[in-house]
Amino acid sequence: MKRFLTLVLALALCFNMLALTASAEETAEASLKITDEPATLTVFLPIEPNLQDYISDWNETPYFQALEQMTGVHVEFVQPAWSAAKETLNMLMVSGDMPDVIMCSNYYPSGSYQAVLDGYYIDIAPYLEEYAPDYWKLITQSDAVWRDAVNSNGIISSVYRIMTAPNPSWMRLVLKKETLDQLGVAEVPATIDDWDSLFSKMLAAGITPFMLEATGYDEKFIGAYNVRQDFYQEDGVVKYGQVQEGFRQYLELMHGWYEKGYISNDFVSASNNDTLFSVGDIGTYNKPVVAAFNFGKAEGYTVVSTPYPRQTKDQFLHWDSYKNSLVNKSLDFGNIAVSGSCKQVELAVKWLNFMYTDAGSTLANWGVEGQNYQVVDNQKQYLPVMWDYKGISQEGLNYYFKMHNMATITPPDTVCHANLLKNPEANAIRMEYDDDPLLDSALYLPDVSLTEEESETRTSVMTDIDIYVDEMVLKFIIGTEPLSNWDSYVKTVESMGLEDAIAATQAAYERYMTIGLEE
Amino acid sequence: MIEQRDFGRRCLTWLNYFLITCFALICAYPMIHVLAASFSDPIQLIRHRGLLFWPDGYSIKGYATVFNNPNIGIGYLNTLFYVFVGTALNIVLTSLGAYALARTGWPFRKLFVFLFVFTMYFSVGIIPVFMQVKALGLLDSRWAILLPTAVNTWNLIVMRTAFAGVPQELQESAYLDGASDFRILCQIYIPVCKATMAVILLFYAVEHWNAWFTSMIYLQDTSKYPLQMFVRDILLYDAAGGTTEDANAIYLKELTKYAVIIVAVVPILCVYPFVQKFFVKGIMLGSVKG
Amino acid sequence: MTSLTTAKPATRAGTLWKSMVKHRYIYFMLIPVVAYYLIFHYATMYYSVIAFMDYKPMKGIEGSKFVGFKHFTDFLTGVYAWRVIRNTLLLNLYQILFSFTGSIIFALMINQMMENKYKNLIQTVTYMPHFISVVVVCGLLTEFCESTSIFGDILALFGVERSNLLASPNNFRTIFVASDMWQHMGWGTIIYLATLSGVDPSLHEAATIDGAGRIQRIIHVNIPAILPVIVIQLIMRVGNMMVMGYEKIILLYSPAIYETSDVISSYVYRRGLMERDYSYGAAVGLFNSIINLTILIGANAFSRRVTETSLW
Repeated sequence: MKRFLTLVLALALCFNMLALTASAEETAEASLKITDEPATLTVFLPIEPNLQDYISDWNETPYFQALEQMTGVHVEFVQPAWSAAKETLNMLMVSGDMPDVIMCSNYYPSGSYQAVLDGYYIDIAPYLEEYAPDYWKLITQSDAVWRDAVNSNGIISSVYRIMTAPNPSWMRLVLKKETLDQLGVAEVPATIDDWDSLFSKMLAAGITPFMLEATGYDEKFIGAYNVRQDFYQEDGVVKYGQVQEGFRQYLELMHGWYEKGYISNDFVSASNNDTLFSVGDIGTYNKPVVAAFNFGKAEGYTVVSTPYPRQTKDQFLHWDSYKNSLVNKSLDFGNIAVSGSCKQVELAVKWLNFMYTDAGSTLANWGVEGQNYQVVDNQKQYLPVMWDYKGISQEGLNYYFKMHNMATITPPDTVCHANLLKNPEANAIRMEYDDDPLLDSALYLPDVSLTEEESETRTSVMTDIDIYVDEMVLKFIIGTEPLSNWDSYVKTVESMGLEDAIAATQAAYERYMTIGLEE
Repeated sequence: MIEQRDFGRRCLTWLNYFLITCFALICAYPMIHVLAASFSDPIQLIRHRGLLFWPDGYSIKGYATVFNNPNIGIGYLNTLFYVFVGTALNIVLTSLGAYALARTGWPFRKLFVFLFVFTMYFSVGIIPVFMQVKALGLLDSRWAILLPTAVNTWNLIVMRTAFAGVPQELQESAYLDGASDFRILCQIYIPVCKATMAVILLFYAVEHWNAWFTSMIYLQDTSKYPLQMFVRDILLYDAAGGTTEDANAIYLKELTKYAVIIVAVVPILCVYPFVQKFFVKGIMLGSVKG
Repeated sequence: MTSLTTAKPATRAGTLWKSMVKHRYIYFMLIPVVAYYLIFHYATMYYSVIAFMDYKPMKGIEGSKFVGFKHFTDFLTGVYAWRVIRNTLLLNLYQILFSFTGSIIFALMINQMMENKYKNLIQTVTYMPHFISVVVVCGLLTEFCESTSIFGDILALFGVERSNLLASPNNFRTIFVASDMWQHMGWGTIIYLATLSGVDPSLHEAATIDGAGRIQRIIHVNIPAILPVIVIQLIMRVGNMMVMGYEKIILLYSPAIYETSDVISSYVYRRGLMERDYSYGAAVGLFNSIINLTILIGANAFSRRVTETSLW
C-alpha cells in the first residue's frame, strides 16, 4: 500500500515539475495553491536577530510575500524579538491561546514531544500521509530518518529540516594566517600540545591566545577526552558528561590555560569577540569559519580553519554530531509544530508540507527565479542581489530573500548558502577537514522521547543539577573552586539524583533503538 | 581662640564641598564617558584604555546605525504613547484617589485607606498578576502595559499628603458657593498643589519611559515594544553576534551601544531639571500615616 | 420603650446613610480607583491558589491537581532555598547600610551648603542617575566591568590584576550596592532636604547662642528634626527586606555568579516563568510575601514601642 502510494506521489510530483517547467507562471501558481478560499494562519516566529535591525514584520520579506502568493495562505505572525522569544512562547502557552503554527518548536523547555503530551502541540502523525505527502515521503525513506522524525508511540510532534546530505561542520577554532606567520608557526595546531605551544607563543607576543565560550564548555576540547557535554551514549550505555573522568581532564586543561593567561579573563561575558579577533587582541575563538573568513577577506587578512583538537595525532574522535542524521533538529527554524489551539489543522499541515514540495524548498533554499537566482546549465546560481541589497547584512539577507535553516528539504550549505558561494575559497574553507577519516558520531545521543513520567523525573532532577554543574564548571576553570574538590563535586551531583535521570534517559534510548518502519 | 575655631570651620566647609563635588563628579562621569564614546572612532574606541572625556577620533556612524534601525523609531513612538496615555491615566486616577482620602468625615474612609495601603506591603508576585492580565484578555495588548500600573500607591499617598495641606477655608467657601467635589479638586486642590502634581507627573512619566519587563512578558509583537526593549537587545544581547560577517555589525557594535544609550537617556535628562525646583517643595512627607 | 430600642439603630444607620449620600460624589470619584485595586491587586490574590496545585495551563485551575504544601516543602528542603533567601537579605542589608544611610549623610552635607547656583547644580547632577533606566544602567555596568574597561583600568592603577568583575561571585554584592548608591543616593536626599528646609531657624540661633558648633548643631538640631522621617523610611525599608527587584538582577547575573546574585524573585522568574513551573514559582512568591509582611509588622511594632513612631 505504502509503496503504491509513494509511486503515485512520485508520479504526481513529476507531473508537477513538468507543469512547472512547461507552462507559464500563472498556471504554475494556481496549481501550487493549497486552498481555494482566502485563508489565514497565525504563526509564531521570532524575528531573526540578523534581520531585526532592518525589518519589523516578517511579511515585509520577499520570501514570505512569495510564499503567500504561492500558497494562497496569508500569515499573521506573532513575532517577538529574538531575545524575548522564549518568554513570549511561555506566555502564549500559559495563556492557552497559541498561534496555529509554532516555529522554533524546540523552545518548549523539555522538547516538542513533551509539548504534545502536555497538550500544547498536537500529534500531526495522523494528518501527514494525507495532507503532507511530500514530507511523509521524505521521512519514510529509511529507518534511520524515520527514527529521528517520529517520537515514541508513533507520535510526530514537529516537522524538521531534512538534509539531502549531512552539512559539513560550520564552527571551528579560527586563526589568522598573519599571526601564525608572525609567530613562525608553519602548521595549524592538530594536538592539544600544539595548541599549548601556539598559545605560549601568542602570549609572549602580547596576544590573549584563546577566547573560550562564555559557558566554559568547548565541545571540541571536551571531545578530545572522548566525552560529550550533558547526556551521551557509549556502546548503548547512557552517560552524563560532566561527571566523567575525561571531563575532569578537560577542566584541568582549561584551568591550567586560564592560570597561564592563555584564556581571556573576560571569557564569561565577552561581547565583542569578532572585533577583538579582527584587531588582533585575541588569537583564536570558536566561530563559523566562513563568516570569519569572509570578514577577514574584506578586512585584508586571511583566516585559516583548524582540525578538531586531539590528544595524539592518530586519535579517533567520536564526538562529532554533524554526521549523525539527515534529520536536522539543532537549528531553531528547522522545527515546526502545530499548536493545540489550531482550529484548521489540515490547512496548517498542508502549509507545512508546502515547504517540502519542489516549489517550496526551492523558494526556501534559493528564493525566486530571476530575482534571486538563475539557472545555468541546469545548475541554480545566486544572483548578486543575494550578497548586497539595501544595506542589509549578509546573514540578514539569508532570511530575507530565502529562509536559511528552514524546515524544508535542503542540500548542504556548500550548495545553497550565499555566504559560502560568495567566493570559491569560502566554500573550500568550510569543506576543509570535513573528510577527517578519524572522526565519527559514535558518542552522540539522538533526540529520544521520554514518557511523561520519565520526563518529570529527569526535569525535576536536572533543573537543579544543571544550575549547579554550570556554576561549578566555571568555578573550576577560573579556579575559585580547586579541582581537588572534583570528587566531592561528583558526589554532590550524584546525591542530587543523577542516577534517576540517567535511568530515564536510558529507557527512552532503548525504546528509540527499537523504532523502525513497520511493514 | 576664635581664629582657631574659624580655621577649623573653614576646613570643615572645604572638606564638605570637596566630598560633595567628588560624588557629583562620580554621578556625572559615566554619562560624559558615554557621550564621548558615542562620537568616537569605532576602532580607536575598542583600543581605548582609561577615562574618556572627549571623543577618541570622531565618527557618527554609531548614531547612523541607530537611526537607520526601523525599530528605534517604532520603539520611540510606542514609548511616547505609553508615556502620554499612561501618565494621563495615572494622574487622573491618582488625583481622584488622593482627593477622596484627603477629605475627611465620610464613612468607611479608613477601610479604603487600608484597602490601598495594604497592597504596598503585600504583593502576590509576578505569576498571579500575569494570570489575571491573561484572564482579562489583555495579553498582547497595549493596555497590559498601562492598566496594571495605573496607580502607584506611594505616589497616591504623597499626593494625599499634599492635598491634606490645602487650607480648609478654601474648600469650605467653595462648598458654600455650590461647587461639586470634582470642581473643588480641579479648581482648588490641583492648582494649589501644583508642585506636587509636577513631581508626581514626572515620576509616572519616568516610570513609563524606563519600563521594559512588562512588555517582555505581556507583549508578543515587536510592533508594540517600547524603546527600552530594543535598547536592551542592543546593549545586553548579542543574538546575531556569532553568525555575522558584516563589518558594520562587528566594528560598530560598541559604538552603537553608546549611541543608543544617549538616544534612550537624553529626553528624560533634558526634562527633569525643569521639574527639579519642585522636588523639595513637592515631597513634604512629614508623616506618611494614612 | 420598644419604639426607642428599634429607633436607635435605625437612626444610626440613617445618619450613616445620610452621611454617605451627602458624600456621594466622593464615592463616585473613588469608583475607578477602587476598581483598579480590586482588579489588579485583590482579584489576583485568587490566582495564588495555584501555589497549592500542580497547575497545568491546558487543564485550567479547576482541572489541575491539588497538592497542598508540596511546592513549599520542595522549596524549603531544596538546595537553593537558603542561598536565595540569604542573598536577598544580604543585598537588602547592604543597601540599608550604605545607600540608605548614605542618603541621610549626604542630605546633611548638602544642607550645609550655601543657597546658590552651585548647590543647585550639585543637586541636578546627583539626581540624574535616578532617571536612567535599569536597562541602561546594567548595559553600562557590564560594559565597564569588562577587564579592559574603566573599572579594570582604575583597579590596575592599584596593582589589582585585570579580570572581568562581573564574572566573580565575590564582586557581585559590591557592584550591585555601589551602583545602587550611585543611582539613588542623591535622589534619596530629597525627602530629608524637604524636612530640613522646614526646621525653625530660631532653633539654630538658640543653639549658636549656647555656643554649639556646626557639628553640634547638626547633631542636636538637624538630626532630631529628620529622625521621624528616618524611622518611617527605615520601617518601610526593613519591611521590604525580602523584596529584591528582579529587573536589575536578571540583567546582570550569569550562572557563574548565581551563588551571590540569585535572589528569591529572580529564582521565581527563572523557575516559574522561564521553566514554566508556574505553581512552584507562585508558591515561592507567596512564601516570600508572607514572610515579608511578618517582618514589616514586627518592625512596625518594635518601632512603636521604642521610638513612638510607626506606620499605622
